Amino acid sequence: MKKLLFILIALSLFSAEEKKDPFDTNSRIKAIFMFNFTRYINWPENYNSGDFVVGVVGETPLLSELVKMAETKKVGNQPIRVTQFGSTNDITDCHLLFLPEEQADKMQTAITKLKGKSTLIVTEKKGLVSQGASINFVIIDNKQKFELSKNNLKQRSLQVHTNLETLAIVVD
Amino acid sequence: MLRKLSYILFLVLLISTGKAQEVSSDFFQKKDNAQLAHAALKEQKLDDAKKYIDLASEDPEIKDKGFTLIVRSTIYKDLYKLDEKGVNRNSPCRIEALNSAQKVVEKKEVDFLDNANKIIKYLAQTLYNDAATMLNSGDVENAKSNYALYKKYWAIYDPTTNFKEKDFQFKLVEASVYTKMYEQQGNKELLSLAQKTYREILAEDSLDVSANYHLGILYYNEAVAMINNMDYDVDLVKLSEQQDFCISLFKQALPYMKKAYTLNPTRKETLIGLSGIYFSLNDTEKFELYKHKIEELGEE
Repeated sequence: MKKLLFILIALSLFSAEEKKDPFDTNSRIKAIFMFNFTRYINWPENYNSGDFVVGVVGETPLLSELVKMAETKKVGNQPIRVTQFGSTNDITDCHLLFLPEEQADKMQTAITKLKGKSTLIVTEKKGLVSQGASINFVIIDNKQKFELSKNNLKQRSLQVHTNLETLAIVVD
Repeated sequence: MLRKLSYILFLVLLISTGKAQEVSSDFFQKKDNAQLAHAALKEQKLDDAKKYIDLASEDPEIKDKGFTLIVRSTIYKDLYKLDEKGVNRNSPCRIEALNSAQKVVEKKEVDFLDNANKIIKYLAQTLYNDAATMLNSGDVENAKSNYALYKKYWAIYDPTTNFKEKDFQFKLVEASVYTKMYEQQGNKELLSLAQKTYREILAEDSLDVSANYHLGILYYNEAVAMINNMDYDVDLVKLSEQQDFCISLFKQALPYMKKAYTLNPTRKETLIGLSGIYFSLNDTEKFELYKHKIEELGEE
C-alpha cells in the first residue's frame, strides 16, 4: 500500500513531464541566423522601404519560426512579412528567399524568377552555392553553420558586413 | 469504542502481568503522577493525562519506569492522533510518543513490549506516509527528514528490514520532484539537484530504465530550453557559443537514452527521446532510424 503511494506519485509526475510538445531546435537556430543575415547584409537603397519580405518555398518547419520572428522583430524600420510560395513558379519579389532542402531541385527556376533582383537566396543543401545561392546552411560536427558566396552576393548587389564573413565559411 | 476496548485490554494486561498489586493498591494509597495520567487517559481526559505524565517524567523515581514510559507513549500518540495527524507533519507529539516507546523497547520492558512495538509500527507508518505526501507537494527537505525518522523507528520495530528498495523508490520520486519543480520554477539549482539525484540512483543501479531515461531527458530538455529562450537577435558569436554548449548537453543525454533503449527497445518515450536528440544533433540518418522505429511501434 505504501509502495503504491510512492509509485502513484512518481507516475503522476512522469506523465506530466512527458506531455511536453517536441520543440524544433534546428529551426529556431536557423531563424536566428536568418535574422542576423538581415543585420549584416545591406540591400540597395530602393529595397529599404515598405515591408521586408521573406519568401519561403513549399512546406518547411522553419516557416512557423519565421512567422514568430516577424511578429516581434523588424529589419531596421521595416516590418517583416513572411510569404509562403507554393512552388518556385510562384516566387515574386522578396528581400530574402529560403529554399528548403526538399525544393533544392527547383533551384534553377528560383534563380530565373529572381534574375536581376537583389534577393538574398538562402538554401540548405550541399552544392547549391555553386548554383547561385548566396548563403547555404551546412552541418559540421553536429553544428549549424553557413557557407557564404561573396560573388553571388555581389551579383545581386548585396553588400556583406565583414562580421558576417568572419563567422561564415566563405566559399569564393 | 475501539479506544475504550484498548484501554480495557491494556488494564487487563497490567493486572495479568504482575502490575495488579500496583494498580489495585491505588485504591488504598496515594497515586503517583504516572498512575494519575493513566487514570485520566482511561477517561479520555488527554489534557489532564498530559499534565500528569509530564510531571511524572520529571520525577526521578518513576520517570524511567516501563509503566511511565508506555503511558507517556500512549498519551502522546493519542495527542498526535487528536491534534496533529494530517495537520502537522513534523508533529512533536509523534516524536515524543516514539521516543518513549523506543525506551520501553531498549529497556526490554517485557510487560509493555507489545504495546510499545504497536505504537512504533503505527507511528513509523504515519512518518512514511507523511514523507510521501510532503515529497509530492515539493517539501523535499522535510520529506527526507520524515523518511529518515521512519527508517530509524521502523528499524526498532523490525531490525531485519532492508531499506534498499525503499531508498531507491524514494530517490526516484525525489529526482522527479526536483524535475517537476524545475519545470515550474526554472530554477537551475533544482535542475542540478535532479541530475545529481538521478546520477546517485544510477550509481546504485546503472540498469534502471526510468533513471537512465529521465537523466537523458533532463540534459536534452536543458539544451532545448536554452535554445527556446534564445532571442532572434542574439549575436552570432554568442549563438555559436550557445550552440556548442547545447551540443555538449545533447551528447551528454545520448548515452543515458541509449542505455534506456538497450534495456527496453520498445519503450516509445525512449525512442522519441533518442530521435529528438539525434534531430538536435543534426544526425539525420539516426533521427530517421528511430523515427522509423516509432512508426513501426505505432503500426503494431
